[in-house]
Amino acid sequence: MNRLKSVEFWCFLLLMVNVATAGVDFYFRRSTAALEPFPSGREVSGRLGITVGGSPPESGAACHLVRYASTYCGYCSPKYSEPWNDLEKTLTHKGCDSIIVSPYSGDLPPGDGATPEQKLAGVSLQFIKSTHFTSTPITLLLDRDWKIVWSHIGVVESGDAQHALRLAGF
Amino acid sequence: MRILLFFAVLGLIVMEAFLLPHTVRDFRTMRKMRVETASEDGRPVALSPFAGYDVDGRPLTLVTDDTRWIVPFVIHADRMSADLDYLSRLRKALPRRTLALVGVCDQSRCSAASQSEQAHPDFPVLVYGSYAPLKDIARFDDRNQVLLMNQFWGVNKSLPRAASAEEMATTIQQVIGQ
Repeated sequence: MNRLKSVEFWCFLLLMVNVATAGVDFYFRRSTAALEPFPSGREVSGRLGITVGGSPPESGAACHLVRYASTYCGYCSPKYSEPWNDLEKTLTHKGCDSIIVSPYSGDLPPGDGATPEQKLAGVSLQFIKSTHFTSTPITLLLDRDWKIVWSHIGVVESGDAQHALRLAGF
Repeated sequence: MRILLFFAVLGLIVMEAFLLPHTVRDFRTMRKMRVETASEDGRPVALSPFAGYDVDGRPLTLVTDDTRWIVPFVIHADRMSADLDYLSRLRKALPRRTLALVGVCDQSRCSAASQSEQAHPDFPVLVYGSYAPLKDIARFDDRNQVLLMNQFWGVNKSLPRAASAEEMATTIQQVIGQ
């Protein structure tokens, strides 16, 4: 009888530990999700900026591919940019536009020349506040209404590009 | 009955063994993300090369050959006229051209104010600019501070944004020694 009581006690204790662990895990997951830098569905609001040509970027495209990159960033160089170039080419062929933003004036990376890009000479404070780019390269894919569909920090690999295309519905 | 209890205990142990590594992994991920997304407290070394544009995309002349100091101020759309008045009074209190005041619109709604060089001949008001420098200016503005820079956009000091333009002028004068 005593042994049975002891087993019951351990059962109860383990059940409590399980519930507590599940609760803590749930809390960590929620906290981590809240810290995600570019959560899907977040809107990039306001006027974006001004292109090097001095005009506002066109905004009526089916989707918008935004790349934060610099000519001084090694991982933004052509050596690491092939999957990015492929993603850019595929999406622009499907009616999306490609927008390039750089951290400083004069460090816009040269494109591969095969795809039309809108390079921003200046951006608005609203755009900065709704993106908060901290490193290069960062890639965002936004829908027609400027809501984030997919984001990637670092070099885009071919698997990332495929994931982006899947999420964009192409 | 005993066998049932045995399996219950076993099941719970297995479940715990499954949950615990997940929790540890999520905790590590959360800590890493907290570190990565924590606001940077550090003052930037420099905000150059910096370019500013008005609402129509025209490049603005922000400094001249006489400039020795630069202080950018964010013009908030929700108190635009008060901020523009603040900058005008600050310019009057600090008339020497060695100090360049630069207004930075936080929303393109203040673009009317940036039709500017006629409306505000004493300081340029920019609507668009370089990403990283504007981010730093906004970051300090969120803490109610402004950056004081030399003519090469090297950051010298961050100053609290005083409630009145005259107080702000006194603080700036004390720092730049004029």
